[in-house]
Amino acid sequence: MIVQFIVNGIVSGSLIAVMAIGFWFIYRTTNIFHIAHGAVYTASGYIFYSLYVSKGYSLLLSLPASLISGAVLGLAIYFTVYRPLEKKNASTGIKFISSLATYILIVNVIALIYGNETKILSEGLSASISFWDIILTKIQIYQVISFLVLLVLSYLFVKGTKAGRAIRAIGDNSRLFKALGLNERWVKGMVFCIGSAIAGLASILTGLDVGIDPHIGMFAILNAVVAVIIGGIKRLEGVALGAFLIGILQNLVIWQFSARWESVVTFLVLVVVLLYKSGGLFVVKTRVEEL
Amino acid sequence: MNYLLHILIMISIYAILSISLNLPVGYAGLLSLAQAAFYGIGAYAVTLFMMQAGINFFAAVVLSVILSAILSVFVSYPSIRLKGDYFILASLAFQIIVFTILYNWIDLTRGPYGIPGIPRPELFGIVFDSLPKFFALSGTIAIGILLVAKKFYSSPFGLVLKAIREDELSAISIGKNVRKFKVLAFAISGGLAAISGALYASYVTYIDPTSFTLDESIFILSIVMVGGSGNLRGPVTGTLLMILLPEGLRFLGIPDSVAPNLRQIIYALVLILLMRFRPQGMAGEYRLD
Repeated sequence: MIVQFIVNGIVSGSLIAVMAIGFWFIYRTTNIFHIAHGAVYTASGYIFYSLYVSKGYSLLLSLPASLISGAVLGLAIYFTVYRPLEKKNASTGIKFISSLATYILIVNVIALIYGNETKILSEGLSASISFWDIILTKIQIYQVISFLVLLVLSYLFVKGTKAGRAIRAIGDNSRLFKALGLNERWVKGMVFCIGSAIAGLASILTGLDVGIDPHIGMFAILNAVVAVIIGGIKRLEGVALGAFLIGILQNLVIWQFSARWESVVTFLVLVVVLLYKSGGLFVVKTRVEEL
Repeated sequence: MNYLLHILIMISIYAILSISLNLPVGYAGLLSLAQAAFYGIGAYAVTLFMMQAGINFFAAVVLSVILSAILSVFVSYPSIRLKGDYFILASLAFQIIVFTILYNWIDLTRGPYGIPGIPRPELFGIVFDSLPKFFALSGTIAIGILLVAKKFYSSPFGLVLKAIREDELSAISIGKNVRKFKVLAFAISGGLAAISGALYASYVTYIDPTSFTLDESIFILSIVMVGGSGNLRGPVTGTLLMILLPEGLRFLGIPDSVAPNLRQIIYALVLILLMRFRPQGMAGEYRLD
């Protein structure tokens, strides 16, 4: 029994991690608390629904098209909402409120177009595979594999490429970055594209399993935010570990108590981490010269 | 006439809520997304004190205000040192935890079924059961709070809060205990929100947890951000605008099926534009930057 719940925890942890990695790219670079990321998530899911279910296009076409639309939406949010605020040197509070308002705006536009009821993305039950006494559906396996591929690619990108180093450089000291004559706007725009496409991926992976409705984005972004804060924003590995911790914890709560108390436990963990270890749980001590 | 009275009662309830949030936002510079939690705690506490313990409404309000203020200290004391986004996040966490408890502690709150048949307030044999009587009560309380708040803002306590808001380091350097003042501001804020909750519960005579969600907290914060904070005109302007706007939409003949979404879209657009072009809100004094 417990093994099954831990496996379930790993699956939901993978989903949280995918969303969290997208949020992390944006937050680490721009320091913007991008709650509207949840709206990008929802919007990409609905675009996928329109293409794949309504229009009946193939998965090979619908998936990339939805991810690109998500990236474009994220980029549009950056340049219309955040960029002007950055130019005015607005406070984090102002950016947070603007992001929240952007979230509300997009979600309600979606609800106006598609209605409030849940849309199903894949018909019928997904085939399941069982070994020992663990049962996994096919889509769950795709979810875990997608996460693993994303983690490896993101890691290679952040550590191994020039653009990845630029991301870390801006996040650590954006003034210095600009002073060196490097193009900050370009890097931030790129990060919004990458992060938003990843949000689209998270949305479609979840949607294929449980369907989508206009309000799932808030749930997804909050879980991702908790994972990022718990894991520590400095490192990508921490974020993935944070997501797994939450995923497994939530499933243990479901097993021992009931799904109704899931969010209490999640947010209690968040509060404890914020108060006692606000740098995150999985932070490796940095050398002085790294600070 | 009844329609008008209903709007006026809602305005008085939300005016108290926005004045309560004005204190942490406009005076301590702390954006809180937990105001609906205190609003809900007030509503549930008053209801339970009245219905389970048989206490008179006005005594129950006093008890609920104390309860809510104490709970708010539990939240604010540890989290007040958190900066910016992290403080907002901590308050959001508290909001979600309170909502989940209200929703799932069935033995106490009846959870999603809600509590019907909440008695109307009663004082010296007068029952505030009709709309005009209830408005007389809620309007008096709201105006009373407005007057006290006005006095309070120019009192030594209010001035210290203002000083902290403008320059925290200077306030510390002249020996002010910044944390104590912020925690007190929060406690008063939580207490005031509980009064709103009490009025709401006894006005509608039915409560369930869906009135005290994160969305409601966002709405209350939007009122203060749209109207502005740091003075009294701000929150009052915000309340009038945000309550009257949807009623205006109703007169434009927008069908009910799209009205709620359209309303949210308008709120969101107003908020985005204000944050960009007028971060102190329409009539506020404090700029969040």
